[in-house]
Amino acid sequence: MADQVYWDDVQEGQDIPALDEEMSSQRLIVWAAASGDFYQIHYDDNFAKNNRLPDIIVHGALKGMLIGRLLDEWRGEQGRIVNWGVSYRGMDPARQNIKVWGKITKKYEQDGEALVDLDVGCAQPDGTQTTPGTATVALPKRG
Amino acid sequence: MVQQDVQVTDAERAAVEEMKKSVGQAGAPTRYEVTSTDIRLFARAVGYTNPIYYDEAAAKAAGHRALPAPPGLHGRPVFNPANEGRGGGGQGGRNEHFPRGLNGGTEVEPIKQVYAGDVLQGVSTSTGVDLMPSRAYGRIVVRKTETVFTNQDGEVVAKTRGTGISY
Repeated sequence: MADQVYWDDVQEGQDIPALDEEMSSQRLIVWAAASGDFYQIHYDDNFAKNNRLPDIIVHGALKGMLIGRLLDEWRGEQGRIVNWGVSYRGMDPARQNIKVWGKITKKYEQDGEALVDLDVGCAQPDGTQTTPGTATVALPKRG
Repeated sequence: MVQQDVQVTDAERAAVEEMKKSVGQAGAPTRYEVTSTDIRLFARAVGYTNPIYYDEAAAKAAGHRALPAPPGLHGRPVFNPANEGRGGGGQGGRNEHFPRGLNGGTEVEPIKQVYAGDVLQGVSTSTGVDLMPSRAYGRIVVRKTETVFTNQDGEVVAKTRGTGISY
């Protein structure tokens, strides 16, 4: 896990470290096994095309869990993910990378916790945003 | 709410009305087992490199009692072919009228750390069924569900909210 990030040191408008993830067909198979989602649109080319899809597509839930990893790796051991949520607005064809990103939109204290809200999402190599969402993370304060 | 510009057959509309009868009702509890093997496989698929998700010694050195589940992992439903739809991936709301499905969204509220060896109970409640127009598919059914996961000690460990799309 990365060095601890402190609430005092982050700013609204700040990007958190992004992930650049290869979405190979092999990875989708591994996710299918991990998640139990064996719907064929994610690994069977013919099935996908017969279901009006251009290619096999990345599982929405995998993208959602990549957002979870983005936050988990950023929060540090003393931080806590309060929640996150994403909408799968666009399909991500397999066999290309996606960027998993987060940007702090609000920094505040509530009920004794130091919190930040973030916009989060997944983007295709051409910048197309497919998976917009939001998150809240509690961070430790210095001292 | 059924929107007036949605083009559907009478049979499709009837199927949606049937789906709506489940709104507000909790389904039967589902048992989820959390194993160290599943934690490692989930972590691998999502790309974690933190050793606490793979190495029990590293997990314990970091203060965990066992391998911790990464956020969003709530175990695996126990598969039993005699119990159709339970643990086999289910049909996700798809039926003869709306045979294809997509995942529309995921919300996760982690509440308490889940560990290898935990046995969770998940109870899902349908919170909404709506027939909507779709540029791509003409019409879609949007289904919303909330699931509450409770561990073997009766503690709520997570809540998730999902959106499923059938077309």
